[in-house]
Amino acid sequence: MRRNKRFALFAPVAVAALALSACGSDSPTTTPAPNASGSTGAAPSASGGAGAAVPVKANTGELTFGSDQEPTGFNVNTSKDAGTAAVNVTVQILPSVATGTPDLGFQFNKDLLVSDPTVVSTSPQVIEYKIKPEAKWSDGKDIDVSDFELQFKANNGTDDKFDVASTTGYEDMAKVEAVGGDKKTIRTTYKPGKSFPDWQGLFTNMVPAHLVNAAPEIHEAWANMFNTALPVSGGPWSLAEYKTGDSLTLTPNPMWYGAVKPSLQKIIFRFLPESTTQPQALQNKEVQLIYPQPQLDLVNQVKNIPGVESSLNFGLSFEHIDFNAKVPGLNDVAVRKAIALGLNVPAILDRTIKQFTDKAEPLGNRIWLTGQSQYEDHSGPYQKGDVEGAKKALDAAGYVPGADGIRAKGGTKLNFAFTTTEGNALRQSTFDIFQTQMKELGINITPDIRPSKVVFPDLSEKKFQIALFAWVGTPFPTTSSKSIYVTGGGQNYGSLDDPKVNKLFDTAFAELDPAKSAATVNEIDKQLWEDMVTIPLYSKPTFIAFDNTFGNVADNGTSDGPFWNSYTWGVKQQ
Amino acid sequence: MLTFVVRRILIAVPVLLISSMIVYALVAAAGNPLAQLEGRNPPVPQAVIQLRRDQFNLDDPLPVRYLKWLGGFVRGDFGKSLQFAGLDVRADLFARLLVTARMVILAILLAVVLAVVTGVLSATKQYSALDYGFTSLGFLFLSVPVFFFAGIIKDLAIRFNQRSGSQVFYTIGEATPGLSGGFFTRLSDYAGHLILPTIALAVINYAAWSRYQRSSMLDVLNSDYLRLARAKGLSRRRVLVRHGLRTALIPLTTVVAIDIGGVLGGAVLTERVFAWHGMGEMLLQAVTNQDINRVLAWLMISAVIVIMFNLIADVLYAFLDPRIRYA
Repeated sequence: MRRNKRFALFAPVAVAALALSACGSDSPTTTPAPNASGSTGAAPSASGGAGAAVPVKANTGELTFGSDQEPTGFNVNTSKDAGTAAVNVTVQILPSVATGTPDLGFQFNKDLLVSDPTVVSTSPQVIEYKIKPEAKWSDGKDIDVSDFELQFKANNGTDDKFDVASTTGYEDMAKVEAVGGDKKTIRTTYKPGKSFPDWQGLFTNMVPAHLVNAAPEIHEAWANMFNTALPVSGGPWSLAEYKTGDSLTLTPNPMWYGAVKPSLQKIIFRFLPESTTQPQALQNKEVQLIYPQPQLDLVNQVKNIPGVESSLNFGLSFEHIDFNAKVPGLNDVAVRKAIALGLNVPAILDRTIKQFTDKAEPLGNRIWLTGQSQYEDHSGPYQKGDVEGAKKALDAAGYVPGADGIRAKGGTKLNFAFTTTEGNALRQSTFDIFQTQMKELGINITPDIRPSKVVFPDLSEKKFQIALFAWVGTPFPTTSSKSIYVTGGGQNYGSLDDPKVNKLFDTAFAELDPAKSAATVNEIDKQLWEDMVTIPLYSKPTFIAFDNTFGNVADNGTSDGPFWNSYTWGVKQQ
Repeated sequence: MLTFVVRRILIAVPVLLISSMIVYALVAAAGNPLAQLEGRNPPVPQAVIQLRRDQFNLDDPLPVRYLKWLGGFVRGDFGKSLQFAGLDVRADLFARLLVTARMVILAILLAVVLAVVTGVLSATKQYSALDYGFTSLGFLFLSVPVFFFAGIIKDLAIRFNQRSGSQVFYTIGEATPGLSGGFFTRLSDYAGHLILPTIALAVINYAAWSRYQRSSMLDVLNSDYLRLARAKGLSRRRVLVRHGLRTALIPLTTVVAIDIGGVLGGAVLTERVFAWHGMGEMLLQAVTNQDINRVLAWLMISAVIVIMFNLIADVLYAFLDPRIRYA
């Protein structure tokens, strides 16, 4: 069964960034993602990827998007609304300081900001933002410090009546203030001794503070004012109509202050929860854009539709195998390394995603992903299926095959349950191959395949032995991956306890220079290969397909999704 | 007859009550409806989770939760959705009921007419090529899953659209969003969206009902009173339609009435395949997300429909068969 959900939300930078894959499919649980409306640093191409912009007709055409999920509301900062379905709508309505880009990086919002934010000081950390004078909400109110203040107030965790998906980043902030009475020049000051290297990902999808603050009860307004409407817009589009359960319509915001006005007259979202209906709807021209989870049949079906352009790309979601280092047998790093040595990831790829894309490669880094400029492959001898090497390693560690062929040492048998989510054909295939490969090494693997609603709580309670699931990366992995790999981290399901890793994260956190921080993060990954509590497998593909009479539609593997540049979409000039 | 109807309605009340208790307990026992929220990473603040628990009374004992729900229900307040915050369950339910009813009623009418016609023809021309043809068709439709059949007719419809150069058939949804135009434009749009799911749903029901009708008609055709009617000089047509068919419709009436009740509860597969946002989708969403208010609302309305149509079946019985009179 195909994945039925895919969320990839930018966490308010750090922690929110990496998220579990959830729901039967490998859709991660979401945390609000930093999204931005505005500038297109990476210009889209007609072929679904970043490239030269295509000339389109002004003020012409309607594009209908077949969405496999309906938003539960539009304040993506809240736990109830955080999700791709809402982000697709809000990314070009609610203003953000930065947007994810197709090259899996980010860019600052040049329509909102006078210039890139500046680091005024590092101790304490102070960041300054300058908002353009013409940046206004569609009701004429300025986008200014009040919007930033509300974002800080709601997300910093000091008022537990605010429903928020994550407090990451904001909890380290001491204050947000206007500079010298200028409400368009804003400074955020972090607490003494606290630094937050991924500050670029904060202040995204900001809701209009003037509306929330004017409501009788601010917490209620924050949580529920935007359940079925976005009364004002700070981006190129406005939410014109929303028929719950059926469709919603975006129209150009007449008060849009940016340089590039939307070329389309409307974007319509139609909710098609059954993804198998999407290719036929595309073929019948009832929708012009789909963004389903790629499955072999669906991809092949779409590729055969004339007049449709499609592409498979790699986003920031990746599959990985985790070991519970508290389980007897797996608590021995020699066993974990032997498994990694004997594991043949290319063979797994051949039976899974390589069926519909030959661009897939084993992933050699847990933090920087394929496609990100900072990516380095640290896998070395691992993942290559060196069965003899793995056997020798296990022999050397004292694990001897018993009469049943299963290795054991001192009463500890290498017999493990493999946990993953049900209803996912790719994961089922991965399990089958892994089980076969481990049998060759003398390790017995049994299935523990259950619904995601049961699996993920068990993972967080460390009730597993070996697990297969996905994380969603971000352009800001320093803070997002910390909770996975530091001792006692909230997402450290494998119970990794390595002082070296902890120290390297402290170093990375103290470093505000992105290049130096990236290098430190790569050092962390190298150390993680020594610890081998997790084995990355592959980056997961994303799939976009659209009617080729439209131009500038481009995939974006970050949590901002394909609508990141929707105001540039249009009917191609012939 | 009135006494009978009133008695049946009164009996339905405790049936509905007990059904609602059982379903409430089952849904509540199915697991933690906030599990997905609680399993998020990074973790959602505990205070936020507690807010949601308080909002839906999740920390109250089960009987208390049920009684609170019942109290609201009898006052017409079906509660809010757990999955879609702020969504009024009652408004959503009735909107979806209209969507489902639109498809189902037309499909049922089509299926009944086809079933009666082909069932009668099959019976009167038993073992003929026509009989074998209709029988084969019936079994074919019985054995083909609805999603497979739907996929085929959608493909055929798309090819027709492409050949004709105009959008006659639609494969998703119940209407084109934001369509502007007059009455006939809208009617044409509704019709275009209605055709394929109606055919898919009609075919499933037609297959079974045609078998019932054929079998029932064969029983009647061999009865003495029909032979007597013919012997008395009545025309074959009059004998078949006025005397035979009327009796032969009685079993079909029961089956159709019971089936309508079930189908109106939501033709889940059909709605899923054609992306209709009706009762079937509502049930699927509600059960998947343990959205207890929506599940109960769906149950109550479906149960009322089933009870109502069973009652209609019994009343029709009396109409079709003068020997039947209810005390």
